[in-house]
Amino acid sequence: MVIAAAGLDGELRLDLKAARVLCADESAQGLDILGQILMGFGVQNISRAQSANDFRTLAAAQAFDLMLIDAGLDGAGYELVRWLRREGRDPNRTAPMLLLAGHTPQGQIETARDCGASFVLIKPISARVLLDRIVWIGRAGRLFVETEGYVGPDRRFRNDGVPGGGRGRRHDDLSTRIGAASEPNMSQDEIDTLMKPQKVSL
Amino acid sequence: MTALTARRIELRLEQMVGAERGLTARHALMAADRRLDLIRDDCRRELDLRLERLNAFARRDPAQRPPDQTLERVILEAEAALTACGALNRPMLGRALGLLCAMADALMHTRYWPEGALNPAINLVGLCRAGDLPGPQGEVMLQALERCLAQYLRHIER
Repeated sequence: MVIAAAGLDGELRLDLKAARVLCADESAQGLDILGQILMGFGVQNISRAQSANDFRTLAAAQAFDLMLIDAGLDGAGYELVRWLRREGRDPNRTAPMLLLAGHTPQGQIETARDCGASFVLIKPISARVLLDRIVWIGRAGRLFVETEGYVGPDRRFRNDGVPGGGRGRRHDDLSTRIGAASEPNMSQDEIDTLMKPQKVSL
Repeated sequence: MTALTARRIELRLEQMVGAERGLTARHALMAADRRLDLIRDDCRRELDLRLERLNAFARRDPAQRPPDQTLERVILEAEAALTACGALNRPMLGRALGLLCAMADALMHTRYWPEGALNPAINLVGLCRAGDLPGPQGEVMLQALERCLAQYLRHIER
């Protein structure tokens, strides 16, 4: 069995005894697999939902630290995540949600992208990948974003600047390359002076 | 103008990951593997049941495009097999099943149907399950299936 994973330090410690995890999948076997993996990780509080209704009921009744949802659950896994992100109650509304998908149908690619899941994991699910994602979520500190068209974790993983060398659409996008520094760095005192509010007379 | 709010949510998971006590990631993965041992036989049985249904599909008249409901059934069987693979650590089999799902889905969106369109994928799934395929040859066949999929997807766009 391969233990080392990209970004997963084998010596990293995790204490998931107190984690409350909700697993939702129509397939009892799918739930068994997730359950065994999570118990191996030390999780002791695992709730199971085998239908969208069960999921809604459980999500309304108690708080979870992590939710694993099969994308095919009653044919509506993506919609369930979208519903919980928009209409659910805190803290579950902002909790990490991992969607597990066999494949994403042609007609649902945009839905999958925009539903607000923390990650979409492609089956077959392996313990290594699942742990890698849990650790990533625990460390990343992603912002939670709410707009008219999207509610969920910030999807921007890395800022590589404006695409194609064009002008950015955000107010803080830079319209030109900055290049190398041409003067020495400012001292902390100089920076403080710049930032310090000062009284001015007009 | 679209309103946007972005805020930092403190997750309990953050305290649990990188804790001072608890399991190391290495031990957690080993423990998960041991626990999966308990259900591996059941998963193999489920996988073989689903693959038998896929094989039955492959024995149909290859020239005739099946109805969409049948293609949908193929996707459901392949997805169930993918779920069962989660306990079996068979990445190549997983990729072959994933490609079968994607090909069946693509063909549902077009009338294009080359004779026996899904049979190469189903056959490759069978070879991967039997363990009869060395890695490099399996990789070549998976790439060939990816080219088939790309061709099917092009027919959707027309």
